[in-house]
Amino acid sequence: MNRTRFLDSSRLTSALFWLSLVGIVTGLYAAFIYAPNEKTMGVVYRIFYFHVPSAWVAFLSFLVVFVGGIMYLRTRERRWDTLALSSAEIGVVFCAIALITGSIWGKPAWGTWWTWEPRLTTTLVLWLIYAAYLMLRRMIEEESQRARVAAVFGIVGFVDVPIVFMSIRWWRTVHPIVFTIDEIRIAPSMLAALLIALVAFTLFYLYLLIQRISLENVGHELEALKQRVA
Amino acid sequence: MDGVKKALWIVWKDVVCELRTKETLSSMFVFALLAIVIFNFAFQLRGDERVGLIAPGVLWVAFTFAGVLGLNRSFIKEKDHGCLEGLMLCPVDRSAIYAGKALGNLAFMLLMEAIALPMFAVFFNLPVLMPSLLLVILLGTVGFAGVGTLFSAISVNTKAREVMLPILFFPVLIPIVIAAVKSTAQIFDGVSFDQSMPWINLMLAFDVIFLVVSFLSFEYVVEG
Amino acid sequence: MGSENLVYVFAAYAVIWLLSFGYLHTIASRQKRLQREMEALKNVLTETNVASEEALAIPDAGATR
Repeated sequence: MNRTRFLDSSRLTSALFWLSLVGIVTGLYAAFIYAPNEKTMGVVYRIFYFHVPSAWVAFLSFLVVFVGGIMYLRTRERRWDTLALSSAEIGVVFCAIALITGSIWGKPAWGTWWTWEPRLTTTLVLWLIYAAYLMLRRMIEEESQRARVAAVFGIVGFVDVPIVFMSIRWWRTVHPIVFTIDEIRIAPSMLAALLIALVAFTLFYLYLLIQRISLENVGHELEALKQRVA
Repeated sequence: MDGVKKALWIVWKDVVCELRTKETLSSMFVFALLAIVIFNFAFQLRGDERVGLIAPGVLWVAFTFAGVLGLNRSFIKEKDHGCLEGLMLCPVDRSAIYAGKALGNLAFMLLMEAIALPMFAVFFNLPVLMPSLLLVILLGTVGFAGVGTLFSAISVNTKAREVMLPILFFPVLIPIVIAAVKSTAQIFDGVSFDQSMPWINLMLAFDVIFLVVSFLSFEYVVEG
Repeated sequence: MGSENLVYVFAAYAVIWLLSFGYLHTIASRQKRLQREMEALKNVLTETNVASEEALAIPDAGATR
């Protein structure tokens, strides 16, 4: 029974929650008060302090899906599949956040909501791949088959990411590139603010992951109990 | 070598089945033709006569959608007639089954493209019998059939199988679509072939990487 | 400078917190629902246990009489 779970310490979980909350509040303070205004873009660039961590969390989650898939196929332990599923769900949420905030940033910065810029487009493709991953899981009833097939798809999808990025970047070289992130001159205080937000969101990700995994485990126990009653 | 022989037997089985009914090939071809016609109308709304601009896109959209049609049939017909279980019971490596099915799908797609390409040449008044274009089509189709066969086997296990295949497949296929459309456009524009080399290399990399990944992971999809 | 752009910053941060904490909320509510279901099921289980014990007890009582 214990082997099916990664972490089950509620004290660690609540510590993680408060730690990430403190981190987020500190990050907000750093982003809005501590860090100076950027010269060319004014106040809008402050979106970046939590846009970049969202994209990072999304990418980290998909990496975990990839690793979880490989480990599931090797060990056939349900906990790896649960890890992959939980991480994929969180990743899709944060990928959506990164996409929407990127688009909101684009409106004042480029004068358009959307441009087929490599990073933005790759993020969209990522979202599509992992939304498909979640749909695939809902479409298969049998548990071990669902885990196997989802693991394969998670691996293929992740391998595709760098190729997608390369192809879109080459494709864009024909068109004028509207902006590069390097345009922002980063002051040390800005970097500090970004790092705080990065750490805070990574902790928040871990907290969400633990919660989502325990939700899955409770659901599983409930199913087992129902089976016994019936 | 034994595995290769077995894979070829599976290709042979698919070809014989197809020759009896011809349902997959004919529906793929008609669908590709329809796509060319529909897109021709859809993109010429504004009276722009420079059809060459949209031709590469139309060509690959037609190939992609018709190809998905064929891929869907590839495993659904096995599953519906209970042949998949029979295939799994054969004393054959799972990877040989994958290789056989992928080769069969590749053959059907190339055949469909061979019939659709002259039609395309007529409708768009473009020369298509160029070795460079044929190379691009071959590389694009190999990648398509390679991953597509794996995804066809994945989606046949789901509840909404015909719908699931494009949803799973298209996001992963994006690099191939970009590379194929771009290099096709360059070829139609008469740019020197050196300029298309990055795209050719990209398709080669995609083909190799995903053929290996699909080959290795196919057994997990069909197991059990 | 750029104060008219403040609305974009506001919108972006609204999206960030709405989606992330909204997601956390859905996890928590799903957890609560499962917990409730679990409680209900456990109650049913203990009740049926009691009932079956009673059912067993009646012929038992008849036998001793």
